[in-house]
Amino acid sequence: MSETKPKNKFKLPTAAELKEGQIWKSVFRHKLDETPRNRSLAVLSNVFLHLHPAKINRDAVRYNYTWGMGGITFYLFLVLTITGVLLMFYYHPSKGQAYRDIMYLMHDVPFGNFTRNMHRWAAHAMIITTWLHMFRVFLTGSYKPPREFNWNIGVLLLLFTMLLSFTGYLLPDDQLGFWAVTVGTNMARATPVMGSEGPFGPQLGFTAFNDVRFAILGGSIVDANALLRAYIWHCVAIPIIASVLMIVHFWRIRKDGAISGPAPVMIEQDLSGPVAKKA
Amino acid sequence: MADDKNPDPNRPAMPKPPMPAMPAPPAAGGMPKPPTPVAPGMPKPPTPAMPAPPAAGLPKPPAPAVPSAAVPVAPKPAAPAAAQKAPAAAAAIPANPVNPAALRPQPPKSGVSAEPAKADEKGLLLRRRDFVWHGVAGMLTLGAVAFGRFFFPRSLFEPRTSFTIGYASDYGFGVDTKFQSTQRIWVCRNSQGLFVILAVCTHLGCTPDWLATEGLFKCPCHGSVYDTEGKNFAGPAPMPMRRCDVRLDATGRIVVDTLTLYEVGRFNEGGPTGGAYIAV
Ligand code: HEM
Ligand code: FES
Repeated sequence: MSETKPKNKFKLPTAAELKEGQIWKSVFRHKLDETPRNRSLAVLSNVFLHLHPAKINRDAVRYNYTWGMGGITFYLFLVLTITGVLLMFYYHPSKGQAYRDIMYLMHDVPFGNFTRNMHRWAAHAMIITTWLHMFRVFLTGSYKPPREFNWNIGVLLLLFTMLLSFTGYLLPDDQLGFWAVTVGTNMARATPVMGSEGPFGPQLGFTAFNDVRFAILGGSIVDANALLRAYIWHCVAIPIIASVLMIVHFWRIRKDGAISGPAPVMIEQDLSGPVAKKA
Repeated sequence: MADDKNPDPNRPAMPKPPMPAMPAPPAAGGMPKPPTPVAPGMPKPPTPAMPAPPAAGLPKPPAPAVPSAAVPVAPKPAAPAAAQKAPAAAAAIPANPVNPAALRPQPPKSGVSAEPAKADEKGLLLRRRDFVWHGVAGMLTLGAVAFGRFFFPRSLFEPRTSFTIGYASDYGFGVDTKFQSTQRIWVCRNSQGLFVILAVCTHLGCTPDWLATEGLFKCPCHGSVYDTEGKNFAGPAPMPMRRCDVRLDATGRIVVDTLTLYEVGRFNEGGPTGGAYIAV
């Protein structure tokens, strides 16, 4: 073949030839024509889609069963992660500079105000959808065994969502956020046992300089340390913790009978005890 | 039996349910916990702990269903030598929850007695697996303690809590706000003397505003209102604002200590030398 080929003549491959080539095949591992099998393969052979079942119960796509609230909440988390990372390119978590950066983002950075508003609105929306999701789970009784474990994961996710919102609130370093965090962390003084003004706190030797509020703020007042801590919890630690919890949450949904599905039948001797057995 | 139940519908239907990778109780001796007690030696359907059981569901104890090097070769269960060997051998099993006593061949009908378990306790830290896990747990505990301590800084870069505010003669009757933004205090003077109010709302800690024309402190956060001496009379504040300790130093300047505070009821613990107020 190579002998018959004219020298130095490079021809661009046609689309049809590309689809036969090694590169195409290394990316798309199976045929793409619409058959039930290929559609399943598309899900099974993709790392992102495979978190999702290839086939689902038809009830799982009925909006009046789920309201799609968990999915919307997850979508908002993705929006927040992307817009949040973008904001981080312009934001310095230090006193004085933080507020200037927000002003800069709003008034000068191209699409800065848009990005900031997206982050802010998505943050508000995520709080609302998380609660609505929880409400839906309650209404459909989906907190009952075997899903009670996932209900608890969900409670933690709600907590961390609220903490994301709380820590993000301080970041603009404006009057609103500053006093909100002052008030919020002053409540922590009243923590039982660990707070300097809570039950048993003073008796155990807790003061404003060694109690739980001190650890949150990195000091006795809302100042530079508190801003930096809020930033790190907000942009690094809590997103990671929440992501891990979401992985567990989604995995557990499938193991517990999938969305709107009946609880899986377990083999009696696999169950850990009489309680689980009854369920 | 239990196996007759329909397995998880997500899984392919199989006559015998596939077992998880964890070592399930071997057919012999290893008793599943309460739900379905099985007498040792009773014929059981295969509950292979691993994909390829040597022979499905051997009813006879001496050949446990776990195809692993962990099985002691010598079938002399009662001999002390075997009791010594068994734990070491068990350490080779890749997962932990099975009582090694259950893996040891036992005379049929003996059941699982407490005795072999006791023998294992003796060598708890000698077993390699336990040693490693105790080490890991120890490191994690140390790490957790250090992690916790890490959040409590030793040095702080905060405004001083003890400072001078000049001479008493610098202040007239009424409320002076000149230290509000730097020290978070108001210097006040009335017929009794000079006192310093800590500018912290007793509700949840915002700084109230001094409204000179109205002669009131109002908190912007939730609306608490205080009179000229910091006594609350409206809003959620539960008590009057606290006062800082004030003293005269050797040169006659007033030293304020924002960490020594007087709550309502102790406001008259002062006098010429200082305290909740200085009589000047
Ligand atoms: C997932 C839930 C999240 C919530 C509820 C949330 C909430 C908030 C809130 C309420 C603010 C204050 C916004 C403002 O005043 O404009 C904020 C700011 C910020 N967030 Fe988030 N956030 C989330 C996720 C993230 C993530 C994942 C990142 C980055 C990895 C991020 C980075 C930032 C940054 C840099 C700011 C400061 C800029 C600004 O205030 O506009 N956020 N966030
Ligand atoms: S903090 Fe002042 S009224 Fe709540």
